[in-house]
Amino acid sequence: MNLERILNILRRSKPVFRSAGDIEEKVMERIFSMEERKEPKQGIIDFLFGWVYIGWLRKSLIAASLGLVVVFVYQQSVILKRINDLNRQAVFIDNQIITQSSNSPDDFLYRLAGSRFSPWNTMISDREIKQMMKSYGELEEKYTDLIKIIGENPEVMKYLDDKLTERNKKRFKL
Amino acid sequence: MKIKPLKIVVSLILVMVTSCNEPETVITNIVHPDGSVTRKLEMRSLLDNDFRISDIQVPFDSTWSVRDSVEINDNGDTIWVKRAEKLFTDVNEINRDYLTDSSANNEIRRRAEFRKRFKWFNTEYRFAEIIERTMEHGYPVADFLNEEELKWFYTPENIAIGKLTGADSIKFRALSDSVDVKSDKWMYKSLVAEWIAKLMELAAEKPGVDEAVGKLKQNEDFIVSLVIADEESFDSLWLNDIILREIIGEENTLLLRADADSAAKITGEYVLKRFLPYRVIIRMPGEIIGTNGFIDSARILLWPTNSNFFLTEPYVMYAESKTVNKWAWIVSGIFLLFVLAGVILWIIKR
Repeated sequence: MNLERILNILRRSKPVFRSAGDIEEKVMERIFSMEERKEPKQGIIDFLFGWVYIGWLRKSLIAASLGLVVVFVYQQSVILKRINDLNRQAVFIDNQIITQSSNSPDDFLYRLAGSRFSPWNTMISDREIKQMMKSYGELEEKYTDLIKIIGENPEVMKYLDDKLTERNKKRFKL
Repeated sequence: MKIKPLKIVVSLILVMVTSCNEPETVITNIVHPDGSVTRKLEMRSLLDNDFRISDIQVPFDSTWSVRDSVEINDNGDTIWVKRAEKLFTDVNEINRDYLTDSSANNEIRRRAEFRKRFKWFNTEYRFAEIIERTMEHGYPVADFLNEEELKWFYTPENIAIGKLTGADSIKFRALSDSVDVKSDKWMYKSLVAEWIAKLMELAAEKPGVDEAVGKLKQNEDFIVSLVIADEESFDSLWLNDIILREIIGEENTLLLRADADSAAKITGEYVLKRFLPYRVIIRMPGEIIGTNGFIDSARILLWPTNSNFFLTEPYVMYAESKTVNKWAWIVSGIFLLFVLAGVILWIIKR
């Protein structure tokens, strides 16, 4: 009986909320902190890729990307075509015929490395270049000897001629 | 003497084309990405080391750094070499030198051009050395020569000699003969056209000149065929005014005789400008993508010059190249990946 009386009293007397706002704030804070603990990277992704949910922005960026790809493909194909045309139209002639025999180090390096070499921006010293020129000269001499030996053997000559013709045909896409 | 100088003019032009004992000169233009150009001059002489400024083919002054040397060639001959170099900040500086040109070729108008175009993935460069035409009313040589003959026409002399004396010499001699005959015709026809145009200018205010010049123009081929067929007969016919009378009539011949003489004289002087040939080499930044020059295996570009090349059309020696803008490739790649990732994310979340 007593127990029932106590229970009735407790049911009738409701708790008094002195600071309902504070409680609400604490609850909300807990909810947010729980969310943050769940997906920490979600915010960055949303920040970076938020644009995908904006229709016009998404379409514009896709169009810009496609435009970039088209420009790239077009430019590269035009350049490739021009280089191929150049290979067909150009007359490739012997080095000695074209430039006489210039002995300057930068001419030598340009001949060796082509446009990859910038004479105005090199770290190679003059002494090193001269050493290289000397070695190159020796190599050229040996190469001349080799050509002479090959020239004396018609079979080897014919074999090399065939190989070189085949290679040149491939090189110039003939 | 009326049109008689025509033969002399052509003969002189042909003589001028082949240089005799002049120093061999090579002008190298090293084009830098910022548009500045390092010009190098290399003169080689077998005779002596007396390189006079008046013999140098391009504008030259004390601002060039000069280095003279003596070398021995493969045949054991002594060669005197003059090397000079100057950095031009841009083509305008080169063109200013051309405007105040006091070199051996100062009677010829020349200029240089440089263009740089940013095309996002690549930057393209074009450099050209241009020699302006000496005749105003001549015909393009391409109207007279086919593709193969044109190649031969522009071939450097030493390469042509090599071919004429090497393997397949019979083929090249036939080609050379054909080019000689056709280029003679081209030159005569251009000279006649120039003479007619000058006559028109000189006698512009005289009555009936339009009709007379029109008749001369119609008979241009006839006049050329007479010159080519028999020069002595032509001279005799011309001296006696028989050709002029036949084409434009007695009355007009009397009216235009003096002007015709003056026009022939002017044409001769106009065309016979002093020109010492030289070779031009252009080195471009990056990779070569276009040129009308000769290329060797190291991708060095070369152009010969002679007075025939710019007789009726400007002689444009151009080279085009490109450099890759690596940063633009990287930026574009990142952008594409970013957009692609966004689109994939959007598809997944939808």
